[in-house]
Amino acid sequence: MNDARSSRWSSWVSSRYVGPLAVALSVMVLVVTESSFRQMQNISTDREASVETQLAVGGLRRALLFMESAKRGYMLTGRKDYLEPYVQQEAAFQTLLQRAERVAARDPDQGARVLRIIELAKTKHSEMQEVLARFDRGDRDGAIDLTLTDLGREAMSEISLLADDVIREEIAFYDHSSFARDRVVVGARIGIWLLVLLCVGGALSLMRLARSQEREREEYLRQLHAERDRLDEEVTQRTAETVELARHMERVREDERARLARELHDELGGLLTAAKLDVARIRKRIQDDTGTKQQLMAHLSESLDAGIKLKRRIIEDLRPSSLSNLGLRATLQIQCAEFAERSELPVDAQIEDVVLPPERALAIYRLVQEALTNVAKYADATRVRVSLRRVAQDVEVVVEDNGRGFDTTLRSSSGGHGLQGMHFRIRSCGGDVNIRSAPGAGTTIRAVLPV
Amino acid sequence: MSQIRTFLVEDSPVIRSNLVAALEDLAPVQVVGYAESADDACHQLRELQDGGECDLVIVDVFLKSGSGLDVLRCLRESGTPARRVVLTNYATTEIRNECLSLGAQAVFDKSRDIDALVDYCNSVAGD
Repeated sequence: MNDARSSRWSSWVSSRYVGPLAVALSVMVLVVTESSFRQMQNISTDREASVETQLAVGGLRRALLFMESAKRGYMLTGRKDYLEPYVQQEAAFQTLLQRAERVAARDPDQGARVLRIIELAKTKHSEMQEVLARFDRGDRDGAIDLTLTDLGREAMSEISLLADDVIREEIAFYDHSSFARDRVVVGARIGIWLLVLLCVGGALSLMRLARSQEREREEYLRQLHAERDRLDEEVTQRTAETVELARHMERVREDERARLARELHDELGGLLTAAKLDVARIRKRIQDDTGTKQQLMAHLSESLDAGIKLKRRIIEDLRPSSLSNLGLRATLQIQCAEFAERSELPVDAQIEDVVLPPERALAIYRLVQEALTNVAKYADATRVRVSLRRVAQDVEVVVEDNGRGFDTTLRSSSGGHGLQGMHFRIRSCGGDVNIRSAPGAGTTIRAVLPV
Repeated sequence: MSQIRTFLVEDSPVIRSNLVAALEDLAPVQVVGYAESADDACHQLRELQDGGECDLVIVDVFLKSGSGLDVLRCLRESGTPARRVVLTNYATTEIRNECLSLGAQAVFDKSRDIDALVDYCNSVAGD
């Protein structure tokens, strides 16, 4: 039951949804990779910006410190070479300021602080410039006074505080973002693994489904073959049964005919002959009389003759005892002679003396009987030929007439079952029947049997 | 006229009794015996021949066992002077020829040639 249900489910899934499912999974893979990629890019950009902020702020502070240190050295020694670093740094100072301004512009978190640092840096710078200017003029006291206002020192210490804050926060952000990056990577990996596993699972279940469908088809075919074999067997059996039944019916018929013929011959024949003998005896006794008695006896004798003739004909048609007593040749000759007399057709009989087992002799007799009956009924012929001869290991029977003929392809016109019965009998003796005919061209029935 | 001692080979009792009565009525025939089968006929005929007691044998072709032709054959072999004629239902040309070639003097059809048989018997008696 489970198998059936799961196979039905999976076939339902696969039949309608396998296509869209495959597309969806592929799109998911794209989505996962694309979004991870974007996230990684963003993290990267943020980190670079953070570093830039740190460098900008730190750079500015360092420049100011160098300048302050150089200024103090110069002011202590009065030597111009101690002011070298101040000049150098001052050259780059504008660039550093611009850099810091760019950072302030794009960084919303630190922007205020950086702007403040820039402001303070400018203040400090102008303080240092003024101090140096006064020193260079020779106004040492003026320079010291300006220094003692602590403007510079306070600006510097605030710059330091702010810069430390910024840098500390940026460092914290930088560390934090590496976690985010790891999370994205892991997420992407998990996502892709999951999707790949789903694809593999889908493919496996599709393969299993295909296999089970293949098995079902094989099973179906096998059942089909088994059914067909069974039907073949049944058909063969039924055919054999039918053939056996036909044979049995034929045997029964022949037995019946034989019985009737025997009774007619034995009983009726004897009675008619006895009657004829009595007629002979009465005639002797009335041979001196004239007139009615003679006439009546003559008429009685004729009636008896007619009766005997009729009896003979019926016996011949039923079962010629002459077959077993006189043999096939004599029987066929008698048959032809009586047919010629009855139908008033000339019959050319060429019968060889061939010895055959009784069943085959009877089959040939029946064949000729049926053929002659058909000639009388349908053919409208003027000549009939009947021949029986031996050809190598076979015996050949031919009944030929020059009558109307018929179309052999039409079953009904060939006398139907009569001829079919012929076929069957001859074939069950191991022989074959061939009927050649055409409208207006007469009919030839030819049968060949093994001896 | 002397009696013709006649032996009958015929398997149908009805025909036999009627034939015996008719022959004895219409001709100087004395039926001395009968047989229903070829073997019995040959056996009895041999005994009769030894006693010289048979002038005419009337043989039917179709018997219960064997055929009238066998009887004709064994009569020929025995070399008896008795006459033999065939009385049959199927007096076709072939059968006639066959019987005559086996030594029969005449062949009569049971239905048509009864009178001829009677005439023959009478003519034998006249000899």
